Amino acid sequence: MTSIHRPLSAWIAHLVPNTNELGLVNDGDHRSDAREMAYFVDGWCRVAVPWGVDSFALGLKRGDDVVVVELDDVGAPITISPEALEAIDHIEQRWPVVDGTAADALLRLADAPLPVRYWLLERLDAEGDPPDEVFAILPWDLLDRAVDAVAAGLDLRGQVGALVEIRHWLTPAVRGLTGPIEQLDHGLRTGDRLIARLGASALLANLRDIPMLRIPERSRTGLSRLVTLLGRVDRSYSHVSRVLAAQLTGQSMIPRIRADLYPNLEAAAGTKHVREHIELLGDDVQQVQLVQTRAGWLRATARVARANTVESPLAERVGTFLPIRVLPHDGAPERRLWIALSVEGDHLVGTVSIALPQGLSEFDADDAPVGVHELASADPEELLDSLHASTAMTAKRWLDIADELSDRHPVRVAANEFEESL
Amino acid sequence: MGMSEFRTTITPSSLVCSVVRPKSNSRLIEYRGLSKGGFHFPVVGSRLAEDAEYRDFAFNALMYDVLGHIVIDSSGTGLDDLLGQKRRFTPQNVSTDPFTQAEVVLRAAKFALRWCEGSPLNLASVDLAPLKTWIAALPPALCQMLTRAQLNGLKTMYHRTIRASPQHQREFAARLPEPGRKLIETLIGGAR
Repeated sequence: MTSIHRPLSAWIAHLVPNTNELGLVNDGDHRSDAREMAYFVDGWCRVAVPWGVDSFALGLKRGDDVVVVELDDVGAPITISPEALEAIDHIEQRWPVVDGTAADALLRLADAPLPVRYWLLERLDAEGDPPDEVFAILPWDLLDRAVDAVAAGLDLRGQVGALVEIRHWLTPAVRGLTGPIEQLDHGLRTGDRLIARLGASALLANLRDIPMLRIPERSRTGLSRLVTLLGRVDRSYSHVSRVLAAQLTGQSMIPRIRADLYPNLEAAAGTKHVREHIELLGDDVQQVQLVQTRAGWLRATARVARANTVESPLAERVGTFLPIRVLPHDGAPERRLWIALSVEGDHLVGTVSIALPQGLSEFDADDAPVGVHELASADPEELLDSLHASTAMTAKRWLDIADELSDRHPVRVAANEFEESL
Repeated sequence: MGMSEFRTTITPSSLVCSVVRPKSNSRLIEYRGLSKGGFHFPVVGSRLAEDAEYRDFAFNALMYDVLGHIVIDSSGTGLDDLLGQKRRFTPQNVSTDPFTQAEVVLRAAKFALRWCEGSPLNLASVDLAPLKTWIAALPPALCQMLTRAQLNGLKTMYHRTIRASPQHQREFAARLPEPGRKLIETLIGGAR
């Protein structure tokens, strides 16, 4: 596929000559992607197809007067102004490079119909490496209003604001952001505390990994306010909410539960003793003691303040696990583990012990604690790794929690496999 | 990720709705809405029996009521066609649109070649009799009635969905009466 101009939308229809009627979506193959259709390989140019009174549809024309119109998700022509068409043509001439002039052309499309903005950035993100700032043309006001609505509902005396459907419009920039917010909204709106909890947890977990700079500053400020609120609603969210709020607003001086891991510790000078490197990370709300040994082992003991959720709009967790990550510096996949936590006074504690990875890596325990509902779609094999890494007391806590779950819950499946392997 | 981030589509000609994953063209769910009464304007879809008439085959017109745990076989033969000793191809589609008719023939090839896969092709395991009767009643000039764009669309669809060897594809085509045989041979094209 080398053509400069190809459909942006997944759907096109041929304009039937002399009738101004449209043929079937994708010539009848509505499951296909118009951009991949063989006949768009070459020879097409951009055209604004007259459609209605003083209105135009986004189209493509081939020399022999074949015209196709790009369609939206319900099969209606995507409208376009001549100025917006010119901007699209300019961007496609440089595709997929977004240089200064192409970025300017993109920013001129800030008022273009939503499908135009969505498909342009969706395709650019798939085929190129667009700069973060061009994603500002997406309808971030939807996110801002949804965040305001949810924030109002998190106040115990407040009410959720007007419902906002964000749909898929922001997914060219970020995935996993708006879905959890809408889930949290639904939970608050319907009084379903479990749905609200799952939305809140997913939001905080996903925010750790999404490319934040694609979100305009105003929306990041709103999100920062929302995660701060969540940290107040549930004390065990407060560490991750501080970390995220700082990242969203560009602050850097926030204590993290992060440490570099070294596979080879030097023996202490003048001794033959195995040297241990001990670090205490975090604060009284969420804390991890890391012990790295010269023998190449890492022991992580988590200590998390118990949350008081009696009056919370979020359901109480069933079981509590602290997610931790080990991220190799060489780009190898991260290793995720969950530490099952047991009650010890007004805190929850648990310990895992793993072999230190080869080469430099990083330990991370900034994520919020989760319960069994958040782990309902986890891979049992991945959970099993955590069970094998657990100390005897922590593994017992895993098994106690698993006993209360259905046979098909991943925690139960992993626990059964663990017991069989003993 | 919530499903609220998924794209939803409605194909205008068939009112088929779909839910599409972000960053992909793969459909997670595809469905066709049923009629909703009580409005002064038409609301998407049709009754179950009407819906069945626009499916391809009776075995694909079966529905499952997830709340009542009931299987609904509104064509009356779907379950027998699916579970009988030989899987029977009973076309349901009543459309007179040549493209839709051609699409049903193409889908027959897709299912038959998939289910009869093996060496040699085991076409004895399916009952094509109702399909043959239906094809024989189609307009003899079906292939000529398709526009060039429609034929190209069918070819793309065919080559995307058919994995059997060209020899097996031709074997299947030879079992069909005209105009189905010619259509499948046209779609196979020059593949060897």
